Amino acid sequence: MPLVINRLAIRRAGRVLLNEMSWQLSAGQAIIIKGANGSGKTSLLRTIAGFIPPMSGDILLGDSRFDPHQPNSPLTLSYYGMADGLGEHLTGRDALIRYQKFRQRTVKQPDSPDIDRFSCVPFIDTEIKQLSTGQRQRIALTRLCLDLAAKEEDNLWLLDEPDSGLDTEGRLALEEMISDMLASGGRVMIASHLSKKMRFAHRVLDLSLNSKQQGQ
Amino acid sequence: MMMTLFWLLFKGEVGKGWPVIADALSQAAFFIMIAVLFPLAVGPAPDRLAELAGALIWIAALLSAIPAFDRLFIEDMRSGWCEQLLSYGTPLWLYIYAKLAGWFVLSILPLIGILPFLSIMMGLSLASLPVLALSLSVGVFAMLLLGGLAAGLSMGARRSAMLLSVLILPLMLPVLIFGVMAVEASIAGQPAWPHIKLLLALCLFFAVICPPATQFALKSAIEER
Repeated sequence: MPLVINRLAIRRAGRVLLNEMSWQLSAGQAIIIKGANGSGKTSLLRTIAGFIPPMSGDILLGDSRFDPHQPNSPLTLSYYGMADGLGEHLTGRDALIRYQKFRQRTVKQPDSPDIDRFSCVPFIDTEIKQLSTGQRQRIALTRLCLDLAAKEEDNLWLLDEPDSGLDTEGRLALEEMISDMLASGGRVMIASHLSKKMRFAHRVLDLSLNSKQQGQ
Repeated sequence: MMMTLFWLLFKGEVGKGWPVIADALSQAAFFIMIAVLFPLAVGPAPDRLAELAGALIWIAALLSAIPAFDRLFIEDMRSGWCEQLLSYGTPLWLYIYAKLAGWFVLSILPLIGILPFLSIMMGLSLASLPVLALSLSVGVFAMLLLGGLAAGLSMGARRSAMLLSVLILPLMLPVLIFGVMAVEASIAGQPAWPHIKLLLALCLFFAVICPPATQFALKSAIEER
């Protein structure tokens, strides 16, 4: 079943950011969202994640409306954004174990080699609040590795600038992880400025073109 | 499944460690402060004090509970935890119940713990202590349900503490009135049950009405982010 975006329009703070956009995202496909600051990349991802209701248009999964917040949603939604929601008082390990419990999966240890793609082991038992931005980011991205390890699910990843604070090694791991997710039939949408390097994209959506046409 | 999720959320709330426990203790300290200062201000008149004691303890408990409401959801909203929960398909009302229940446990325990000392200080007979403790527990939970709603509604507003007290004050009144009546009945040697039942009814009413409304408020706050 493709995820169908049908004539979607988004308004934020009285300004129309996206107007009448339509496209589809099938299993195993990735879309990269480009655009200047303020062009609506984050708003688009948040709308699909169900945090913002669209001004008009529909987000459909097959024929029915896509509601990612239903407990039995056919797609497992993972939203990665600026606010990671890891839990300041937890250690990285606890945060990742908690993640799996909330997803109602059998708990895997996050430091096992098939999951630890972002080399979090050196700081995995440190409290999140003591980590650097990049380290936090790597822990948050390890949640996605856990999605990848839980194979029976149908995943939708909405990633808002997942690569911004990562070093070269981390970026490579990120690209590899996304490729693996696509290979196992997941769907990925990425908002990023650094899209040239990402070779797996099936489509690039440039929002700056869209907003220039409209003005106010 | 809901119970497991609730338990998971509840454990998360209670197990946040020292900063949250310190918050709960400072609420208790505020409670003691009001309750200690008042007898000193009234002066050496044990009879008058005992007359006022029930009302006084109730007001102290309610006033000391309010400052915490402001912080109930802010941290989880800012850190993105609420969004994560939504994306996991966890209903927010369940999270809200767990949040309130967690905070209730943390804040009511020290309060109940110091209640015997306070009632001795105010010249209350220890016989009315169970009624006082029970009515306060029910009343504080009812307040917490209201406070959660107000906190959700005032999310993102500047000077939200002020807005919050204006929102919550009128709704608080029935809780206060029935609570004080229960305590006064028990001091006068009359049955306190009718009042406590009314208090319970209020609490149940708020337990049904408030969390869904709070969920709505939090969702629109997420939308605004």
